[in-house]
Amino acid sequence: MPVPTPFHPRTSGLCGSLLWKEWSGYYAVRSYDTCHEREYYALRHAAGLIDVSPLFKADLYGPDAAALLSLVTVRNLRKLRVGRVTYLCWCDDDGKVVDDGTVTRIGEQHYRLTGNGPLCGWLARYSDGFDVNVEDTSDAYGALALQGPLARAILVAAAGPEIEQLRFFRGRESAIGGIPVLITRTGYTGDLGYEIWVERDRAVEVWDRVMGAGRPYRIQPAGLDAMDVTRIEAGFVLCGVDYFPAHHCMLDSRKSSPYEIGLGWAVNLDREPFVGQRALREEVARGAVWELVGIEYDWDEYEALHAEYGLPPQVTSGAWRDAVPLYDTRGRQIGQATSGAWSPLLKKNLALATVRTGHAAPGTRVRVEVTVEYERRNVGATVVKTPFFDPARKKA
Amino acid sequence: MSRYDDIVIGAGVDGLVAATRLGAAGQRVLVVDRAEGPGGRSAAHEFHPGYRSPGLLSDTAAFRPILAKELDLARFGVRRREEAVRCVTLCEDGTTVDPETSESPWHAWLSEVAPVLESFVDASPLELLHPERASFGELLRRGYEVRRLGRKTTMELLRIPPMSISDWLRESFDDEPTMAALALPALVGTWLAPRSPGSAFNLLFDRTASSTQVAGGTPALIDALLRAATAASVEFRYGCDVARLRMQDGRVTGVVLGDGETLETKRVAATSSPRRMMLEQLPPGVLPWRQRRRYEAYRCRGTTAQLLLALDRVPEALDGVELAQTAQSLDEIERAFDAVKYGAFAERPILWIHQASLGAPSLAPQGGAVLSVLVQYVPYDLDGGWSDAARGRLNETVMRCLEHRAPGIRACVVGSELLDPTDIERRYGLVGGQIHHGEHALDQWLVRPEPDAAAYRTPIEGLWLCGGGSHPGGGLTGAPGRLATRRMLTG
Repeated sequence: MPVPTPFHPRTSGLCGSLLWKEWSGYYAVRSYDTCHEREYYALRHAAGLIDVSPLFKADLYGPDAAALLSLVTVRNLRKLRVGRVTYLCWCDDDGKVVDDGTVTRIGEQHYRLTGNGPLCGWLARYSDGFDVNVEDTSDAYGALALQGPLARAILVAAAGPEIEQLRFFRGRESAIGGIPVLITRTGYTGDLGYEIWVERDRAVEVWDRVMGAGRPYRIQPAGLDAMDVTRIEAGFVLCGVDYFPAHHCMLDSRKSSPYEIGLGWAVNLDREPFVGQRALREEVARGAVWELVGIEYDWDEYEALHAEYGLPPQVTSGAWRDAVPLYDTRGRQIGQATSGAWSPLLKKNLALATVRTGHAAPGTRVRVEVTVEYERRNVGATVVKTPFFDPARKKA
Repeated sequence: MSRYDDIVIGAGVDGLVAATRLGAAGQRVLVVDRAEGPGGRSAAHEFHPGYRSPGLLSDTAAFRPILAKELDLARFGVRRREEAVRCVTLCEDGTTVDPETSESPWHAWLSEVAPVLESFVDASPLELLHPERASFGELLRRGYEVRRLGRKTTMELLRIPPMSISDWLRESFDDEPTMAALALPALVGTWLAPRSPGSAFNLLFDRTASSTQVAGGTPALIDALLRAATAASVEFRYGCDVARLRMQDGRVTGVVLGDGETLETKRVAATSSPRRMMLEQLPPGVLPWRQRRRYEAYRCRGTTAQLLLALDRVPEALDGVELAQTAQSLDEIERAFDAVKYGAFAERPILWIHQASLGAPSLAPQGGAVLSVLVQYVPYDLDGGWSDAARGRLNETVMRCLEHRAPGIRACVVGSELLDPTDIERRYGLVGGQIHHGEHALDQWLVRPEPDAAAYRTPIEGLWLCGGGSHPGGGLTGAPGRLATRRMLTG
């Protein structure tokens, strides 16, 4: 049975819809209302507060913390300065992605790794001989994502003016109402936003402070359904949906390399050995087989297809994550769309897709399967660059 | 450009053999060793004024005759003794039982199959994972060897290895002291007892893959190998521990010593424990986790302690006895093994006693004697850890046992040194205090140390495993060094 997060005393009172889901063993709100739309618009037009405590966290202390993280992940973290955050993934020996997450360098010898799955077991595989202490802090901290165009104003009101200066992918130790927190300018919505990390015993107080500071700005508590739409607009892959953790895959064909899920940019290949290096070098030399792209459905064709059945065009209000086949214009299957959503903001039907290289250039025409009235049909779509939505304020 | 073609880690028997063969083939070879002199596990050291140890492994009967021929060791003074010295049982009544005098067809059968077992020792393991590297002629030859034995013997060779020593011997013998004397030498250093499945292979191996001892014992053998190596222009550096290997672009380019000095080389031939080499001496991240797991699973549980005794005279019971053991029955060995499974040493340990000074008189002063006593079974992970008190208790237990078999021995002892398994690990760099660089057990004989390195070549380009942690195991055979370099030199 799932357990409550540190914010449960507040989220449970607000979740009138009773729409909960299990996330890594915790109760997580899907949407506070019966429909997530109000929360979605808060995230895009004001600010939403999302309880992301179920993320796995590991704190690494010691002189070799950077060396261990550089060995295990695809990035050379020796170069990461204090107060910086980086996004990365880690691979198995065959260069296939196990998970993705962030690393924050909190102190000279203190790093925090976050991920979708358990971290410490994986780190323990490689930590022999390193002077480092790895602590599973998943349960020790609550985490809140404060996301949206007004997030900065709210956080300045809650934590003080120094937040004004906090730049994209930076982090700093701060205090909210005297309660020590770590604030990082990160998030999963592709917008201006912050994540707040607080010890679980003080978590509720921080929630109250942030909600209080946000009230004049029409802050809304937001659930995972709203976040899912925003992450697709932002072009972020989701572990277990758009790719699968290599160590859980039964089939090799299910595994993905960083280059195949759009994380090739995160790989620092030419450096001292790291897990998967040899395989990734070979893949770079050989070229990746798959590529992750964004696709945009042809709306007119979509509408016409539904009209054939006497139906208005139908889109689900939330994001979907049941993969559907993708074809080239000659009808050969070239990949699959793994998750998608109607973007209320962009007024477009979007999906993230994995396609064979050669079909990944922006502008490439593809066809995507659509089921209408139990019949499998397909409509045209175009490969486009991600993120679909990329406001300047995200980094400003 | 690299200063050396090959750096051999370890100046033990395998290291010296490997270095000599590489040097003789024109390679520029350096041998590095953490000890202050050559010999490795068979290095002599003075443990009491005037008394030297014959080393941890002191019985030279296993040294492969084919090596003496190939390295022309006769030129450097290696001679075999006329007759093999075999282990006898010291009985409680003061008599000895020599199993070799028993007229069992067992001995005759062994001489019949010996050539097959010898070819197991003298040939590289088949590379099942890399059939392209195996020679067709070699396959044919081995097939023929087995075929020649006839169906009955072939069947026996399939039947016996997975058996226990106890089951196998009881088919042919009923005299307990005889069986104990046959069994014990095959069990020293193992995590096996007479009733353990697969232990029959250890006995088969022990009996067929040994010849007569080298005259002069380990000091003479090491000295000759050292001279052979020097004649092959091999260079030596002692007292330097290898901290790790230096690598570039996935291949070995050098050896980094404990003091930070780097020695450049094109290849490294390591005779050290595979676990230490692969888990501790490679840069992090080089060895895939899958293989790390295999090395972690490679069993290296030490079960042996060594008591070195300096005697000013030889007690009567040991007069003229060169190799002996103290178990009266197979059950006695089995019981001594029970304790070690639960972190204790046996209250009645079994002692393998080598009066080394009989074969190598230089080890002791005139009239005196050096005994190397290997104590079976003593755990590496002693409950409560090894302390002076624990060592004291073990020492007393062993001496009581000895006194029982050789009355008056306490009065003859002028000096002694006890090495528990952790001492053995520290002194010889043997992981887990395992005297064979990895337990001798059926599975670890057949694939040693792990599938991807079973034929000496490791997945790390330029790194070869040439020691007792490779086929055919960690006795004093010299065979791993010989076979590994044969592979290295043929590319």
